Amino acid sequence: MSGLWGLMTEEVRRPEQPAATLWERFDPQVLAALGSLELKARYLVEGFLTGLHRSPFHGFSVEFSEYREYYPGDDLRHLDWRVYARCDRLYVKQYTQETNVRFYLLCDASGSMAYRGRRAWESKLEVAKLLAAAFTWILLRQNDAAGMLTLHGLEDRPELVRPSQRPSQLGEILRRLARLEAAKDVRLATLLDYAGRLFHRRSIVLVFTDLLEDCAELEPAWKKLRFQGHECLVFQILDADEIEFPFDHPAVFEDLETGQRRRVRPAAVRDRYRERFERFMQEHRRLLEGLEIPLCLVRTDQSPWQTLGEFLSWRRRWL
Amino acid sequence: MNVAFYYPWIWWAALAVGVPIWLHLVRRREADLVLFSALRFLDDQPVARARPLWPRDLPLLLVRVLAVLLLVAAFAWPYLPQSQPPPEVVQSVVYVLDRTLSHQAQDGWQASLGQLVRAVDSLPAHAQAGIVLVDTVPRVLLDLDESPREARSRLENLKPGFGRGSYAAALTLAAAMLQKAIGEQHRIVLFVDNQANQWQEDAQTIPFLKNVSIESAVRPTPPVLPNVALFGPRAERLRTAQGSHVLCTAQLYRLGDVPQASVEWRVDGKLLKQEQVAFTGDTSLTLLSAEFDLPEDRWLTGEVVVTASPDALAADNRLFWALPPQRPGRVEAWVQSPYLLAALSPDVWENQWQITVGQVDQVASDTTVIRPHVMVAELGQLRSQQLRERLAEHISAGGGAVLFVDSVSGPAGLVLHQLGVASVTEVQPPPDHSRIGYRYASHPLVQWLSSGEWGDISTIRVQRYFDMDVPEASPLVFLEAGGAVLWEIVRTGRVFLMAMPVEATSWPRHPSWLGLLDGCMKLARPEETRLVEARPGEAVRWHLGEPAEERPLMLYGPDGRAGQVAAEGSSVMFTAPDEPGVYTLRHEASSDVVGMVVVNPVPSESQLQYVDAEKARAIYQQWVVTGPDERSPDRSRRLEGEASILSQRWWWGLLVTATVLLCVETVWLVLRSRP
Repeated sequence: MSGLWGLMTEEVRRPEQPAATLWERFDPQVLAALGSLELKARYLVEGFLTGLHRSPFHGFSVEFSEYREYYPGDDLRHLDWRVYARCDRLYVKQYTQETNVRFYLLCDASGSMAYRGRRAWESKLEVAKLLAAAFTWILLRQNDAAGMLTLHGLEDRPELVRPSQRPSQLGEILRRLARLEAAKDVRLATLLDYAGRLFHRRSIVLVFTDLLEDCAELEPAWKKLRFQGHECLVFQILDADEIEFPFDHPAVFEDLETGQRRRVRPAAVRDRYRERFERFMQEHRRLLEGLEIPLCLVRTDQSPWQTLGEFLSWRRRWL
Repeated sequence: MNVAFYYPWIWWAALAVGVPIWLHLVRRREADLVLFSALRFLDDQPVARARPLWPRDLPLLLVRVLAVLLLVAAFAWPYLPQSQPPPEVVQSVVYVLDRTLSHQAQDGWQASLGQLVRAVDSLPAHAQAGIVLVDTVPRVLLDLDESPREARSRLENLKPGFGRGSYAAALTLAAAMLQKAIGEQHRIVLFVDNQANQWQEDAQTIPFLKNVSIESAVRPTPPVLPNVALFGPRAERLRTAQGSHVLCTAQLYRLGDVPQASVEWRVDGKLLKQEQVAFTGDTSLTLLSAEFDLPEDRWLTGEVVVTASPDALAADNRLFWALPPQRPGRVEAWVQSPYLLAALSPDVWENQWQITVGQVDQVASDTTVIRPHVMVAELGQLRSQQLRERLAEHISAGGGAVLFVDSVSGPAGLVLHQLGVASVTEVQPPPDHSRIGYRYASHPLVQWLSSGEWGDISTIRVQRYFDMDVPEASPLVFLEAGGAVLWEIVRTGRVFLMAMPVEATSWPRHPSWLGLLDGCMKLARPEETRLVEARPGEAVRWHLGEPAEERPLMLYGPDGRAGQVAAEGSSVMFTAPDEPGVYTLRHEASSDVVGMVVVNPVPSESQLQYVDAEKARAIYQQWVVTGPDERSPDRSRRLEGEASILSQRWWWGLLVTATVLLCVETVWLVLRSRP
């Protein structure tokens, strides 16, 4: 059985599926076949949650949410004995955790984000939009307030969606994300600068970018955000072509942001390219480490579920 | 070589070569361009030009450019102008040659043919000539753009025709040809025999010849030529008390002062009867008949030949007929009258009708598996509802019925109501008006009964009959008093309704009684067409009744294959041969006869009565209309240019080469796009 339905039903029947195979079961073709961003995000999140078998968003605190079947290992304190007395079946009470954390999603729409390599299942911008949508979904389900800041190429002013816990917030953010397109004159430094000016209360800022900008230009903006007390988490979205430079034949390369063209013989420059690329990224990593900003690498040729997992584990630690 | 172009402005389209050049300069380059996001790490590499200066894939570019140029050149219509201007075409002439049967009279065909050949030969050098034949369907023997030198050989190979055609139709075709003619003068020259009935049938045609002069090359003929001819052949198998035999009839036509004629009857090539016919007074039509005892189980073909002197037209002296083998028809009878029981005795109709007389009280158990062709019943016998339903189903399925009205009440009334009888009244005619007095003469049944073979049916008396009002029926036989006693109702099936009890008439004691029953049953029997009569050259569509087999059908004549037959479902279509005769429709390489086609001349062609030249001129001059010439001044030059361009082979070569180049380009791209 294949496809979304197969993915879900199979997992329900075999809850002890090893996590390693879960990543392999991500099907980019299914994702591409889904029309809207909302469906894609839902596929991503629900497929991921079904695979994990146990939802991490249900705690046992204050507000009752739902019943679920008892699994060996569950705390016996949460068993509902009344239901057991009536139905002769073991059910566990679940509660929804209440938080008041405010999240901002920053989606870099610079020209380089439009790149899509031969092995990628989507362009970098599309992956960024999908992850942003999936995170919004998750955050709103656990009563966190989600907002978004984006910068369109031809507009001077940034587009801000103020954080909110309302269910309608998801639709609002998805609509804005769907409209977002890569533009040559959009810079991440400008976006971060706007964020520093517009975010007043302490928040968690999730940044989706490829970080293909000079480190020196970004440094003041990162520092400003951190000094204002915001927690930042950077999802660096890169294509395999950018990391490995696997091109074979001599060709003319045109820059997506500047339009500059260079005649390149890839075999001759591959090693030098990788070395310069690694050095460039090393600078960013060093800067972000110094500011205690976690960096999560997302490859467009790999499953985004891994990213979701890393984010959730980080979120748990942070809480 | 000095090449000129008919449409030189089309060379502007040659600018289209810019498209492939642009493609090779820009688009092909784009294919090798990589849009990349991390060019900052390659900033030490040499800068590339935004646009290349030299196109790539030069061979492919050349193929494309050449294809475009050849296409443009072809549509610019190049031609080789002659050093001297083409001679002006003075006149365009269309000769109309009458190829109908009547034109053979007194060797008129050969005379006109020779005259026409001489006329074409004597045409001036710069004249166009065409020839149209007056045939069953008018046709072009020589088109205007063909060389007049072709005319002689075609005319020499032309055989005389046996069909009949319309002068007006042939002139219409000639006028259509002249519409495209390039001559300054348009002429039509008639080589026709001026047969009176041929001119008269088109005399009321509205004018349709514009700016055309018509001349007639008709040699003078007397107003009437003596002629004998045969037409209207009919052959039928008859059943009388003495047995079965074949009755052949034909009409002998005499025109002019012909004292006598000799008639021969041949069947399957054997002479069976010879007789002399003496014409008296003004008799112009004589009914010939002959009876032969011939086998019933095979096809019969025959001919009637007449010889007489003087006779201007010998080609209409033979008449052909054919008769399919007798297939016994199945009859189911529900009768009680002794007259009917005797008449429907199986002994009487041996090999002709297989008659089953049903018992009314055994209807339930009598389940006839094979459906009868005809049901014969006295209405009073249809007491069982099952029997009435069977009759209704039989008629609605296309079967025939012969019904005798012996009662109008009860079950008989129901049947009459189903047959559409609106009202019925029983009538006793006065004794002095009780005989049969009037007949629907053109109905085949009445024609047959009135042929004299069966005696005088006006002696038959009727004591009592039922006066009926049947809106959808045709009355066939009436009493002197006026009431109809025999009706025909045609629905899906055909029904003959005898509106009198059998005991109340003297018909069963009349010699025509068996003939009446036979005729009614024959006409009521669903048609099984296996014989078609056609005119020479006529287009025939024939419904065979069953889907044609996969094997092709052919038409065979006495000299072998005579024509192609196109099959479409259960129908076949073909053109009847020109020459009269009996033709067989068979599957290729099979001896089984599917059907026969009898081709006989058209009777009106035998009426050798002529109009004089002045009267003919008065008729065809009515068809001519004059008016301003709408032709443009350079029309003739343009038409000539088009004709000469289209006839240049190398002009077509341009188109073919361009197409081949485009195909090469496509294959090239496909092969290159494969991994």
